[in-house]
Amino acid sequence: MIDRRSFIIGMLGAAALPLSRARAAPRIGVVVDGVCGDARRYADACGLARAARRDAGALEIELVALDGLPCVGLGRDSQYFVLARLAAEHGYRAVYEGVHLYTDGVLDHRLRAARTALPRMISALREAGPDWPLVLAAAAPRLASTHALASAAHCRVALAAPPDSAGRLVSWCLARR
Amino acid sequence: MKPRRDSVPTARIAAPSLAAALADWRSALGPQWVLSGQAPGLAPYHDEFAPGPEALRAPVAALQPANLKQLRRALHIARRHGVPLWPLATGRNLGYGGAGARQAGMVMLDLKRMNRIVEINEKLAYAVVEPGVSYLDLQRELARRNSRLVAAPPAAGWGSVLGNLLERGHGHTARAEQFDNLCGLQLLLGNGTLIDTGFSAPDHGKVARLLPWAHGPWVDGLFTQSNFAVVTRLGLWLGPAPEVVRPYRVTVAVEDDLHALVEALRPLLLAGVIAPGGSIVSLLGDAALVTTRHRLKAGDQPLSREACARLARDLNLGAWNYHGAFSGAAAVVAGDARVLRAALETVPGAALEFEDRAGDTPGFALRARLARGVADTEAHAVLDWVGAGAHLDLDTSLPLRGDAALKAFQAQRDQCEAHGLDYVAEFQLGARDLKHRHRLLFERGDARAGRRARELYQALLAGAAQRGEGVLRSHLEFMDEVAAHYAWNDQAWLRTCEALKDALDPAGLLAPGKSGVWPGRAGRKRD
Repeated sequence: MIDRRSFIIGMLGAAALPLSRARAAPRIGVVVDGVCGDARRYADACGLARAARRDAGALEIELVALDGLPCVGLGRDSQYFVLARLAAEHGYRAVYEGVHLYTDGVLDHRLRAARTALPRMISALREAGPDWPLVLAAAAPRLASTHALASAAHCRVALAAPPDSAGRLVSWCLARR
Repeated sequence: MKPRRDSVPTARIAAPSLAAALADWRSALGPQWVLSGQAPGLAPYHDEFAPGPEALRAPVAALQPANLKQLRRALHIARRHGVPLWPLATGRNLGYGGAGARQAGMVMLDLKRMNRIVEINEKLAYAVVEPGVSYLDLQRELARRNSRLVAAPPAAGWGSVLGNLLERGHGHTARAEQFDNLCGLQLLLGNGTLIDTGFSAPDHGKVARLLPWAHGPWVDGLFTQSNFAVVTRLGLWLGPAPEVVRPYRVTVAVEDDLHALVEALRPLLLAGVIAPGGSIVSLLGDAALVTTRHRLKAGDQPLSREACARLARDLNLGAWNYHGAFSGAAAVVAGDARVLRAALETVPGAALEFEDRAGDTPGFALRARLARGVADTEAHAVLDWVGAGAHLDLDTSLPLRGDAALKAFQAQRDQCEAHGLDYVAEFQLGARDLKHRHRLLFERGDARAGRRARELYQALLAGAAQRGEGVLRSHLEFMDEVAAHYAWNDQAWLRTCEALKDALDPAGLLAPGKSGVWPGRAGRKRD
């Protein structure tokens, strides 16, 4: 059962990246819904296993602390709704948005990002099955260097929702441009 | 009699006047602070929770003055060219219209850049803020100063302090009634006059902000939920952080026991044992913070009574969940808790629990933070109940009586079921009234859901009027309908407001139609 709202907030860990890219890992903030299994897997994949848990009120303060660094995340819609608007006041805008919806044994991924970023993500999501949060985590550095929500793509994967799923999750990348 | 209502709610601004005004504003404010046409920065100026695309009401421009001097120049230009303005503090009053205006084609006057905390007086416990200061900003500044003071933030603390007080919002600490915290306004009238109310003018510096009123008429109330002036600065009383804040909740398992619960609480409120600011929250009001219709496989219909009963069991919630907090000296708090427990003996099945037992139940942690004066954004989690959610809010006032509460609940729940929406609401405890805060949740961008919510809203308005309840606050879309309900004595109230509007803002420049008050020049007519 999903319980009270909290967030796992930290920096994308180099451990989350392949060794070849880890040395040059960009500094990217990560904000994850702390109570949903898929999002926790994403947090682990981003290397946030020991990151701080915060209540919702801390979101803006954490954003200020990012001081212009890109920010990625996975969580429920309301979390992103608030975060995106707070971020806009600090000069951020969305360069990637994804909606991930479980319905009747199917997981529907709908993504918007730069045209170049999407084909590889869609292909990986098709293959990933329940590991789809790991695909998103691995794509974070690439997304953070893109510039616009210029293109859209989607795929459907046969996959039942895990017991602690929120049903509908959104993923995002916010960056100062 | 009905008030005037545009069939197409669009501001009629002559193109040459607008073009000339935009040129002058660019010169006065700097071109980057005047957005118009297809400027991407104009996108946020609409009602994000509009119940349908026709309610978006896109503006033609937005002005972003940085200070009072620029604001005065902007208003002077508007007056010269006859272009009306819609002032916004931060535009986060989302359930009531957000950053939208009554009409499309409006020029938005965005005061977000006027965001100075002008003063915090630690000894006498007050602050003076500009429109762009949010509760999160104020909280951060108080923390930076190691202040012992706290504000009374509303459930969503990212909005403007000034905006919340002017809309007569509601906090959750012992100082919950925001209007009672107001201590002096600085106002820029539509005719260009700048005034400070009460003792807040510089010539009364020694007593500024210490008393809400001064000599002669006390006018501050006229400038709340109104369109007579732009409020450029506001004083608010803060409170010292209490020695102890002990949040609690009281659950009752049966919906009809709302009656007994309210009857038990009223004497305690009148005697001051419990403070206004607590809320009796419906099952779904708390459940929606932590779960979703999708998870519950609710389909397209309101959650059934059986499903609600299961949900209450699973989440350890009552049919009603009264969230309150004792605050003050430790010895007093302990005594008050005993009095509440004794009073609840008359309420069937009522369970009083504190943080040690109920701290992890839905809604408790959020309410506990609010009771301690901590600004927060967790309340938005209810949006997930319907997916990518939006809400329309309707606030009505009814007597602090069990029979009135039960009747209002039953009527509104039945109306919700008839329109295919869930009943998600709470009764906020006032000193002598209950504020029935009804949140109509629907999916953003779903035209059918938006239409259902809009129809339900109108039905709820009509029902509340029939029961003799008063509407306290309404969404932009319905302000004329609400104003029409204040019709006694040939709409004497509305006519008086219109006379004030024409006197203080003779060109009708500021927020035309706000709260149903239109300026004379808009061609006011009744049929």
